[in-house]
Amino acid sequence: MPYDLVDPRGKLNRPDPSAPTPRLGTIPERIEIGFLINEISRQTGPDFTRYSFVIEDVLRERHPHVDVVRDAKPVLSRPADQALLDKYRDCRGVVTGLAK
Amino acid sequence: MTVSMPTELDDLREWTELSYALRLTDGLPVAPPLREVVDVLVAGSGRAADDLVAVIPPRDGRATVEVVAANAAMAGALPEHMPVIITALEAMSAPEHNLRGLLLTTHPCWPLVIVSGGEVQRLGMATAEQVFSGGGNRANVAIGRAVKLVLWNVGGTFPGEPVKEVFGHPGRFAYCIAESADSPWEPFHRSRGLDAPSGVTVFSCDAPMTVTMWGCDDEPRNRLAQAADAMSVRGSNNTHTMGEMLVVFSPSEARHLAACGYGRAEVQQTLFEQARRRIGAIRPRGPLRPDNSPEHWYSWWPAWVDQSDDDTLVPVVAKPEDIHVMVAGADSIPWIVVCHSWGHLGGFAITRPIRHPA
Repeated sequence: MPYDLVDPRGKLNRPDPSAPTPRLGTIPERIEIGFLINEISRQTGPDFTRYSFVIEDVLRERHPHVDVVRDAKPVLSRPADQALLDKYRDCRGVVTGLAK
Repeated sequence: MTVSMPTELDDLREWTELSYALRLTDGLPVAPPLREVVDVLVAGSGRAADDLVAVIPPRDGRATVEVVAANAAMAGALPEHMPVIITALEAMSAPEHNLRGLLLTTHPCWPLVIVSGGEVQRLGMATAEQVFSGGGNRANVAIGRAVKLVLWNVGGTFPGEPVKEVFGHPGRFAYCIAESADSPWEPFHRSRGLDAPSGVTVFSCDAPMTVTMWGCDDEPRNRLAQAADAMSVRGSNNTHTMGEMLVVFSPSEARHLAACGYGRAEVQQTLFEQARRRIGAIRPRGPLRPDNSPEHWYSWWPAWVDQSDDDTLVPVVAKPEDIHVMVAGADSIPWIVVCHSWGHLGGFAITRPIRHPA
């Protein structure tokens, strides 16, 4: 007689992250892109703020009408609060960097 | 991608290898989550099987009562342990605990489950010898282990990808302690404002650092200074960012302090005054802080910390109540344990009442 088992992992509360987000077919003439800095660098470690300007320059070469929203979380390990997230409400994509 | 698990097994001898193949354990053997055992554990919770207890990051898995029970079965828990396990998981899901951050951080902290009040006696939990490693007690270990397995299986807290914790934490196998009934002070949960017979507190902290009373006389301030020194080590997140700390007194040391007129509040106040370091020692002058100008100040320290002066003594917490004081350990020689934490980033203590089945 077989033994019944219960899967201890539980279902996901969101779509499977291994499925890639569909790519945009075409990019609109005007598009808003966000950069969310994990924390303002305090003279330690890599600085995503500076790197985000490099990415912005590349973006602007390809899409001159890109609008950029850039802000930073006060503390790297805490989630962004709603007021901060609201600034990115109209963005088609948000680029964030790990650590600093 | 989650590999599916068989819903039944013909031969239980296959379970151990299957559990490792599916990565359902962190390395220690686990009992099979048999349907009949899981159903008994669900009944012990007094809640419906599909009730959602928490969504566990980073995988964002749904820890329903049944899923929690499956992990509890793997941990060897009993039905009467379920209310404590569920309360702990609910508590650590409070936003201020920042469970997602602390499960993924490079910092070696882990949620410690603290049981206090009548529930300790009801479950026959260990409070004395080896309390920080389970005390040889089924309830302590099964509760801590069940919480761990939920965070592992439902949350997917695997080392390397996605968890970047640099060194790890011995308490990750099972981290649950219970407060001694021999405390001269009110139960820990009551000191945190919970008016209930029992409580569960979760506090994410580093591995315990023990402090003996070597070289100390009977004067409470001198004895507490010994602990304060361990609390304010250089390089600790608390020393640099404040946050919260846990200090555990053995029953004999707590009684000594109480006999000298020290209640919990006096202990917290004295530790707050003594656990400090000079800014010049915490942040020596160098390329990262060439001078005391404001652009080199820590923005997270309160304004009352005078960062313009290298001789300012900075406390390890912002206020005395952020030092959590409780009593546990063997009732033999006086001893103190200090647990540092993730600092101001999260893992803050959350206390909840235990909901028993009606």
